Amino acid sequence: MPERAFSRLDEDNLLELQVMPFFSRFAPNDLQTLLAHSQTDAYPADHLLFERGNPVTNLYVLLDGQVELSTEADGHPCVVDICRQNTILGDVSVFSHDPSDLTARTLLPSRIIAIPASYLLHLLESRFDMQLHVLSVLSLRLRNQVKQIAELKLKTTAQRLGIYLLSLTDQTSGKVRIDFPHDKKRIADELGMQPESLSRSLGKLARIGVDSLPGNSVAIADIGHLRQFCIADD
Amino acid sequence: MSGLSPSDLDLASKAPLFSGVERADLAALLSGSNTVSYARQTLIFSQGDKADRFFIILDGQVNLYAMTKTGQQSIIEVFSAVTTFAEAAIFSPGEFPLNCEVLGGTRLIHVPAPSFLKHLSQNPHLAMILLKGLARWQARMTEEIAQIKSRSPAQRLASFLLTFAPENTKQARLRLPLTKVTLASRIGIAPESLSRALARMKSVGVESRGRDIIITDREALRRFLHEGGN
Repeated sequence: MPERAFSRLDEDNLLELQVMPFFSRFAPNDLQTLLAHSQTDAYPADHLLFERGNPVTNLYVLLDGQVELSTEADGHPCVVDICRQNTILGDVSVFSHDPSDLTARTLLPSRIIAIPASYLLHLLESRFDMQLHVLSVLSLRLRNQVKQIAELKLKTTAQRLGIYLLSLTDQTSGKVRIDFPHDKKRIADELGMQPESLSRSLGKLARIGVDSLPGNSVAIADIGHLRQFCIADD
Repeated sequence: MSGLSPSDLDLASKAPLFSGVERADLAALLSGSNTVSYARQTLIFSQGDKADRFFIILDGQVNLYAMTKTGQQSIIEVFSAVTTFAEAAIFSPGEFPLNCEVLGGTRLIHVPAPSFLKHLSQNPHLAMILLKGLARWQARMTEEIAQIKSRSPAQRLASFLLTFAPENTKQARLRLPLTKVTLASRIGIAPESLSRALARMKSVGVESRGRDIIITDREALRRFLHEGGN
């Protein structure tokens, strides 16, 4: 997209971009140049921004509205995220140069800036300060994803531990105190977990009223509550 | 000159961050780096230490943890080979947000920020390649999240049973090595869900009597794992 004069709209958008982490270290004149090459549009609900399997030619900035990111897992559609205002979309494909794994579709009427990928990459190529900033933004985001995966897996390990605790008592409601029959290392082995996972799972169960006591036992505030937690599938 | 042996450099190149980086560039990026072996559990850095380096784990295990108010370790993340960690800290100057310890038998490459960033600043195309590596890594993570989210208890059970049925066989008969309660806990589902999951799998040729399981059509079970969840 060719450069055009800086407009009143661009002025407003500039202020919005400056508060977003992705652009926070971009100098105002760099942002102005980016905006002068970009286009801002209002889309209706159910508008397809980009589709799984296709290249993504713009970096999108969702100013307001709502966009669903979905993918396919084992042949089924799967929602990965629902994005709200001030979110960057399409960055993974823009920086990887790979076709998108994700489909982005508006759920509500949305106002979106499209920054041409080619121009953004061209600008970044010669600017070490901006490269470092984008590297740090992407690596922080990656850390959060690693944490999210650990959390998701942990949910099931915490459930496993919960089910194990349930098997150690006949009581079905109210407060229960349970002594572990072995030390933690052996329990971890029995449950097929690393000792670290067991420790993290206990931490997770603490949030639903399972308190670790000194001397290898736990106090469960409400065994019915623990049971519900263990049955939940999501 | 790289202070790393060629075999350590080979290992390091497997880290997702470096996918796409040429060997000569990697050697230059890691020119100020060195490999350290830890015979026993060792504290590598503490929360609040200046983040002046990042790490590549070649062997073993790394735990990142916070300390709770009562002075107990709460493990936040666990890493194993081969991956980089704490790289976010050097792209933007700051402090390590967590404590880090390695288990005995771990080997780490320490990558000091100054030499890494110096080479990066002199080779603008390299930062773009690292960005590509991070983006691809993120795409894989997103995929993994989608997979975990979308598996039903029955699919988790199918995945467990398939590990007992040799590939290239149509039928398999197996005796569960665990009681059903233990099996349920092993795959992270409630015992009630396990009975339901087993009942649902009759339609894909899985029959169960007590601890005996008969898989009549391995391929159908495999299809169920990948396609039928809901």
